Amino acid sequence: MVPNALEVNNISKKYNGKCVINTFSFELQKGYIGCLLGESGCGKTTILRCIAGFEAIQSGSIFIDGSLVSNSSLRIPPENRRLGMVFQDYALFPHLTVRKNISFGLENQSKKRRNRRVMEMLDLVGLTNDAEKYPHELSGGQQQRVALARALGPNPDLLLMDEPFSNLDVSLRERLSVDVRKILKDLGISALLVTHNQHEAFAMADMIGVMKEGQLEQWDTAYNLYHRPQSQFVADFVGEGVLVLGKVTSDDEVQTQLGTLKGRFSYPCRNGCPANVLIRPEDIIHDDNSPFKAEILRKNFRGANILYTLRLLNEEKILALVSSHHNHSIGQEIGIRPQVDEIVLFEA
Amino acid sequence: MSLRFIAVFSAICVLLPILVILSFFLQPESEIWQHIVDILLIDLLKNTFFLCIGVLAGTFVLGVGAAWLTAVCDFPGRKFFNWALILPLAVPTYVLAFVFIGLLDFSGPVQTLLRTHFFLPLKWFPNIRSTGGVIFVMSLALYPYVYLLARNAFQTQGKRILEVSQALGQSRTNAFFKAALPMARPWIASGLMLVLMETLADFGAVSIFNYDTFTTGIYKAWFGFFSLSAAAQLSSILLIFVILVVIVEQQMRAKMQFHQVGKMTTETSRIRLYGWKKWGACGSLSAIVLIAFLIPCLQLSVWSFKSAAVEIDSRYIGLLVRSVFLSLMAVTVITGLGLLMSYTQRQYPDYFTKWTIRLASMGYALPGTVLAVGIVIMVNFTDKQFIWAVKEITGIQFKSILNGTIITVLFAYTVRFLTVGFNSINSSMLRITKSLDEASTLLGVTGVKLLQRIHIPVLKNGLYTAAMLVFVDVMKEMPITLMTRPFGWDTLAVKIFELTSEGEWQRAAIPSITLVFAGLIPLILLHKKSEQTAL
Repeated sequence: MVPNALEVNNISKKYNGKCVINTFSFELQKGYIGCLLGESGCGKTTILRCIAGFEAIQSGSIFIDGSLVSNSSLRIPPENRRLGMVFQDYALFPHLTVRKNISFGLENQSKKRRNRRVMEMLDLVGLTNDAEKYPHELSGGQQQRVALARALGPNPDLLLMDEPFSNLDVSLRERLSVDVRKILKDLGISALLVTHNQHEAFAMADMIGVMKEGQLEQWDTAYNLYHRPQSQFVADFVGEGVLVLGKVTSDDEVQTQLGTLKGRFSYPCRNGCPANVLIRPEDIIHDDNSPFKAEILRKNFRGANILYTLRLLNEEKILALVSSHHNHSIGQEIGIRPQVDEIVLFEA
Repeated sequence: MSLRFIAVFSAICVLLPILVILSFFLQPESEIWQHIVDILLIDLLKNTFFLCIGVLAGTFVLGVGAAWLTAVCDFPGRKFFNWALILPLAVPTYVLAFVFIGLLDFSGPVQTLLRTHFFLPLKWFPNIRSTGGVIFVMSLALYPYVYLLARNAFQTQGKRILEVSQALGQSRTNAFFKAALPMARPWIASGLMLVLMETLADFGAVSIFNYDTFTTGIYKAWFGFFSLSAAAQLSSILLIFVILVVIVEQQMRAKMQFHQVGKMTTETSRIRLYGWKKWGACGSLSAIVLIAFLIPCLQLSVWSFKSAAVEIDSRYIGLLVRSVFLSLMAVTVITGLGLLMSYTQRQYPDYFTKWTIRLASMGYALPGTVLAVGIVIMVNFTDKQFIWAVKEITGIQFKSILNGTIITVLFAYTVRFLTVGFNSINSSMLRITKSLDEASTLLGVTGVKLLQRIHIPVLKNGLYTAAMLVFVDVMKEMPITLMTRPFGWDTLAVKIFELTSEGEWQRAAIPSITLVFAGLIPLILLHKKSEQTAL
């Protein structure tokens, strides 16, 4: 059996008596890209630094490629973990050229092999023509790619990336995250990144962990996080959408202000219970014949679609994503109809 | 832990002379002190006050005007003036002072020429040995401080502010006075505070002019009345003024960070000057460079040529060697200590360490005379303890141990110039972020190799700059060397003081021109650096 690229088992860490990571566990299969997603200050960078070996853990254990690297009494030094890391500020060596930055970690190889490897890496990130430049002569995106090439140079078992795109502007961020994913996938490298930006997480990662105050809320695929969130926090944090109040009337029906929704429940709910039902903007269909009317509070033009914020009769607000052919004005009442196959609801 | 202990201990040593001086503010008064209060103090206060006001006004007009022209306007020779205007920084104030006295005095070449060739009655010719004369000379020597900071302010915000004001219907002149000038206030004020510090600290120029201020008062109390305590009491008053100036300066610096707007975009966005304005700008800036730098240098060269045959001998070599030796010693101590403090600050980012180091690097504001007094008092005190201890143990009676040795001078230099060294080293140190260390570690380069391959190369430039700046500053330094040097340790600066106090302008020319050459080195490097950053 192939060992997992990374295994984090029940690790905990305290700073000055305050728990920053609390019994945290997840596994990352070989060749997969994982992502820890959370608000700043939720402890995601700390986990990355524990995996890298810059920080000790107080309990639990960490395995990289099947071998134990950290537990409460052991901490293999970072340089012996066969890791690559891309830092948030890139941490390029300012006094070295791009070429020398990349060859920095390859000193123990023969000169010929080293040069070949540097050329490969330059080619991989598309910077062959900038090899003799210094970091300050490069744009932010180029610096980021040098950092990636430098980290990949020694052919690590696992690549760690700390907010790798946060210093770049939005358009570049999207393009680069796709590029980087392709590079990592082509090489078959396992990687773990941390970010606060869910678009980045969706674009890059196979598996995403949503974090809240040092704890892992859900470790899952992007699809499942969006469509089958396991907690109200995840439902709220990932994507757009609102929770409306409802009452469970049978094991596949719930009554809300939008009428009775019928569909498979993601999680079983007791009959007669009040519940919060997750309604995503695309679950609401604009239908003039519908008996349910709602008043438009705000509209947000997004090109192909318009995101309407609507007020129901009982003052509850919901979001509706409607084709932009249907251009209504604020204050107008429009007919809407819910369309959900699988119902995500949480007992209130 | 020991690293931090050494750094904090040195920082406290550096702070001690300041505290010693301040303690004299509250000491009981002596007879000599009473005499000084009765006869001298009012005059000292009055002289210092007028000098400060005059120099502030002079440097404001020269500095801000020149900065506006070179930063925002375009006219022939702008690029040349951009850097030529900082050249006066290479000439020590006391050198400029004696050159101007030599030039404009009754027997000097200017008045002689007017008298003998044009037969003009010279009643109208202003007396250079006057309050106006000192102010004139010191303004010319110190305006670059205001110029550099104001130029920086105008470059980062000048043009855009003008555009905004014009869009709101203001004329250009109005926009300058109503928007650009007020916005640059923190920079200009900071420059003026530096000028004020230099003016309060100046000893060489005022003593050449026989213009009594606190610094000359301190010198006379010590070497004239032989009262170190009276000197210390005068020093404590001066020190309080200086501390006030430092506080204002620090506040201005903090304000600058909030006013930062952004870089000016392109060269083409400058205001082109035409007609009389163009030639007016050119002419006035040429006049400044000529009067403040070129003419004095020319005069020094002429005097040097005339005196070269007599003056360049083993005595001159001796002066030069001692100046260089002292400077090199100071460079070693200061860069070493600066490096240590910078590392400590990086390793222990707690408030106590940060503030001790920050206070320790306040010495640059201390007038040399004040510092010399504080240090000699300290050294005398330690000597007494040492002598007593040595006598108790060995029975040998020493007259002095530290006093009048090279250690005293070096200690004084360290207190005075530690800031200069520390700041340039620390700005390099800030480039070695924690993540740089970590990146290197993950790539398998740790320990000594990490120092060799990352730390030393990155710090190299900062260390060079620190060494060079300290070297030149110590070369030019006069009052500390004069008042604390070991017997027979005359340097170039000390010799200039001795020669000029006897009116021997010509003989002082060769040591002076040596110092000007030394002073040019950092300016040239500064210029190269600013060209690299393309502004």
